[in-house]
Amino acid sequence: MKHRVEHLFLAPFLLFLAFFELYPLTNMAVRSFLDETSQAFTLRYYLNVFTQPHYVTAIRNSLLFASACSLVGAVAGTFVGYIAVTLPRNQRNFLLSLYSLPLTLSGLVVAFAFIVLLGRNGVLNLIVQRLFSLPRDFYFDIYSWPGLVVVYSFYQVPLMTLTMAAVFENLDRSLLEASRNLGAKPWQTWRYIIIPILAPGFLAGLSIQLAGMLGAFGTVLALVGGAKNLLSIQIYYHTSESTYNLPQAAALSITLIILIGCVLYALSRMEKKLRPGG
Amino acid sequence: MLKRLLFLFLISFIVVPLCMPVIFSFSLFWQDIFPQGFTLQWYEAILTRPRTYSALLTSLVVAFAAVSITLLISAPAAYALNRMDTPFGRWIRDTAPILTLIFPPVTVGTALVLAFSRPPLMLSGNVWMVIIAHSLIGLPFMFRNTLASFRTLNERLLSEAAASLGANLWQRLVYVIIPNVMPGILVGALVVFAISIGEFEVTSMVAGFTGQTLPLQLFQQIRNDMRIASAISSFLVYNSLLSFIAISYLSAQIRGGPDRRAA
Amino acid sequence: MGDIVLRLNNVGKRFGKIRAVDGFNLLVEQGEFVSFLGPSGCGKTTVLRCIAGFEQPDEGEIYFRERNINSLPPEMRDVGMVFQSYALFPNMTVAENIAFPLKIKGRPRHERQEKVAELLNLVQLPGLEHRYPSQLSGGQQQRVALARALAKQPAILLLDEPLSALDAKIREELRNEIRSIQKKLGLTAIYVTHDQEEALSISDRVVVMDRGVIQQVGSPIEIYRHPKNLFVATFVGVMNLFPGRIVDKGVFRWQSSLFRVSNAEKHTGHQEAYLAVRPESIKIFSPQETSESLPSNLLEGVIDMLTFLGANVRVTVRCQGDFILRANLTAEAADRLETGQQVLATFSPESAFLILS
Repeated sequence: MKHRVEHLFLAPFLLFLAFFELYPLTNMAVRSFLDETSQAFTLRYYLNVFTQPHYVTAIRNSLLFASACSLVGAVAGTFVGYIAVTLPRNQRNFLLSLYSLPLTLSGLVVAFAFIVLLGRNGVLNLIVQRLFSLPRDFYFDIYSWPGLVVVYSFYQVPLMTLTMAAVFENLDRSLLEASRNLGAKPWQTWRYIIIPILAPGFLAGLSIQLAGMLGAFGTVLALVGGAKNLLSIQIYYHTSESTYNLPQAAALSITLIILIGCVLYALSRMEKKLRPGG
Repeated sequence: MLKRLLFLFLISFIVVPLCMPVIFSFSLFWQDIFPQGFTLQWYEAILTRPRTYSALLTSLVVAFAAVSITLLISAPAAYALNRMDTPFGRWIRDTAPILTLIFPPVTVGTALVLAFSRPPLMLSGNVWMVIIAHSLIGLPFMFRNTLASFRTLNERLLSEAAASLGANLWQRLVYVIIPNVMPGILVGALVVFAISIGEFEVTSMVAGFTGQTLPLQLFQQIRNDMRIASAISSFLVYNSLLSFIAISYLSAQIRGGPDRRAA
Repeated sequence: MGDIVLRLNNVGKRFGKIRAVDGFNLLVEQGEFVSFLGPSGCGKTTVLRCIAGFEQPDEGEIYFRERNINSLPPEMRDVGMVFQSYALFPNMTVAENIAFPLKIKGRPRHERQEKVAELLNLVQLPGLEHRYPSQLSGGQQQRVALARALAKQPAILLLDEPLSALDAKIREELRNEIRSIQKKLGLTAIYVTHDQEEALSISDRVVVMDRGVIQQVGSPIEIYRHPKNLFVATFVGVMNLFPGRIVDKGVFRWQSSLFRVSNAEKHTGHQEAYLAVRPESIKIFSPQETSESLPSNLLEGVIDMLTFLGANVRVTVRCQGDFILRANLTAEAADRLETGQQVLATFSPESAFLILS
C-alpha cells in the first residue's frame, strides 16, 4: 500500500525509454516493411538483405569478424583474468581498474593510437624494421582483417578480463582443496571442477563480446572507412552518408537485432544448461 | 620475475596505446621512431579554431545534459525497482542494464533518425537529438550503478529502520538513502560523462550542423591533420583517465565504508 | 490485569498462496516482556512486522491502547525496532544514529547530545559517539541499535532476532542486558527468536508458533513443564515421548508396559496419547543395584551412547522396540555407567504427563 507513491518513481524512466527507444525501434520495424515512396507493404528491403551480394557478404563478414574478435578476447581475457587474481591485492586492483578504462574510451582515440603505433609508419613497425633490417614494405597491417582484430582486442580483452576475474575470484578455494584432498591430480581438478564452474561465466562473457562486436563499427570506420564491408557499416552508410536509404537501413538494423538476439539466446541456453541444476 | 614481466606487459597493453596521442600532441612533429620538439600549439588550436572550440563547448553541454537526464530518471527508478519483487520489476532489472547490448547504438541511431526526422517531431539534426542519443547509450550504465548501490546498501532494511524511528519518506530519502547511494551514483555519472564526451558513432548519425561535437571534429582531423587530432585525442584520454581515477577512489570508498571518511 | 498496550485480534497474513499468519490473537500488558518463539518460517517475524507497520495484515485488527492502527504508516507508530542485521545508518556516526529519531522530531541539539550520552551509558558504550558503525563489532553495533530504538522512547520495543548474528558468549551477555534495561525502564517488549533457551530465559511470557498458528501461550515455566501439544513438547527442550494409549485413570500403556501418571484424572477414556517425560526426570541404575522395592514405571535397555555435556551427561538408552530414551544425569551419577551396559530406567508418576494425539 505505502509503496504506491514509490512506484511513481519508475514513471520517468519508463516514459523516456518508451518514447525514445521503444517507439523509434517499433517505428523502424514497421518502416522496414513499407515502400519509401508509395508507403505500401513490401518485402523488398529484406529481399535485398538476403539476395544482394554486398549485404550477404556484410552479414558473413560481421559474423566472422565478431567471432574472431570475441574468441581472441575471450581466450586472452580468461588468461589475463586468471593472472589478475593470482597477483598481490594492490597490483590486481590496479590492473583491473586500468582494464575498465577502455570501456569509456572513444573508438576514435583507439583508432588514432593504433595508427601512430602500428600504422604504415607506425612506431612499432619502424622499430621492428630497424631491429631486423627488414624492407620498408614489410609491416604489420592494421587496415587488414587481422589488424582490425588486434585493434579491437584493446576493447575485448579488458572486457573479458573483468568478467573472468570476478568469476575466478568467486571460485571457492575450498573446492580445489577438497578436490586435492580426494586425490585428484591437477589436470583432473581443472577438468572436473574448475572448468565446469567457469563455463557459465565464460559463456556469459562471450555473449557480451559477440553482441557488442556485431554492432561495433566506430574504430573500423575511423581506420578504413567503408573499405571493410560489415553489417553495422552498411547501416551507418545507409543512414548518414552518400548511399542514404533509410528503409534499407531499417531492414538491415532489424536483421542485425535479430542476429544479436539469436546469438544471445543460443548462448544463454547453453549457459543455463551448464549451470548446476539448470 | 616472469610474473613481474607479465604484469608490466599487461599494464603496457593499455598504457602504451594511450600514450601515443599524448606524446604526439606535445611534439612538433613525429615522423620517425622518436618524436621531435615540444609544443602546446595543437592544444591552442583546439581553443583558437572556432569549429573545434564550439565543438568542445557542445560536447561539454551534451555530456552534462546526458548525465543529468540519466541520473534524474535512473535514480528514482532504481529506488522503486529495488523494492519491486514482481516479475515485471525483475524483468526490468534484468533487461535495462543490457539494452545497449540487445539494441546496438547503430540500430538505435537509425531508429532515432527514422522516427524524429519529419514533422511534428523534427528533432534529428540538432543538439537535442544528440543529448537524447547519449542519454540512451549511457542509461544502462547509470541504471546498473544506481541499482547496485541500492542493493549493496540494503536500502529496504535501512528505510524500514528509519521509518520505525519516525522518519517519513522525504526524511528517509534526505537523511539516509541519498547520502548512502551517492558514491555509486557518482560512479555512474562519471561513466556516462566519459562515454558521452567520446561518443562518435551515433552522434555522427543524428547530429546536424548544430550538434557537432568534439569527436566529430576528431573524425575529420584524423584524415586532415593528425596534429590537431592528437590534441583532441589526448583531451579525450585525459577525460577518461580523470574519471577512471575518480571512479577508483569512489569504489575504494564504497568498499571500505564510510569509516574512511572519518579517518 | 494491568494496562493493555497492544491487542492483536485475529490477525492473518498471506504471501501469495502461503498463509504466513493465521488467526493470531494476543494481548500484551504494559511492562511485559513477550517472546515469539518458533522455527524459521513460522510467521513470528511477520507478526512483528505487522505490529511495526512494515506489513499490512490481510485479516484482523491491531489495536494500540484501544486505537486501531491497521492503516497507520510505520513512521507514525509508537514502536521502536531492533533488527537482526543492526540496520545502523552507515553514513552516520554512533551519536548521529542514536540522535536520529530526536532529529526527526526536531529536538534541539543540546537535548540530543544529552540523550545520546545517557543512552550510551545505558548500553555500556560510553565515549563511542564519534565512531562509525563499520568501526564497531557486531555486539557493539547491536547495542547502538538498541540505544537508537530507545531514543525514540517508544511505547513498545520490538526486537527481531537481535542476537542471532552474534557469538554465543556475547549473545548471552547482551540477552541479560536487554532484560535488565527493559526492567529498569519498565518497557513493554516483544522479542522474536527461534532459540528456545533465549525465549525461556528472557521472557515473562512466551508465544510458541508453528506454521503461522499460535501453539501455546504461557510463562516459560508453563511452556517447559506443561507443553500443550506435541509440537511445543518437541520444540521446547528435549522430550521423551512414548506413543501409546490411556487404559485407565492415570494408567498408560506403552507396548507391553504400563506406566502410572499423576495429575491425569481428566483423561479417562481409552484414548491414543503420548506419555511425555523430560530427560532430567529419568533415573538410571544397573540391575544389580535394584534392591527390595522396585519402583513402578520401569524400562529395560542397553546404553547406546554417553555424551559429555559439561555439568551433565546425556545417556541414550535403547529400550524394547528400538525406542530411544534420553536421560540427563549429573557427571558423578554417570561415572559408573558405560556404553553397552544393561540398565534399568525409571521416572516418577509426578514427572510424567499426557499429551493427546
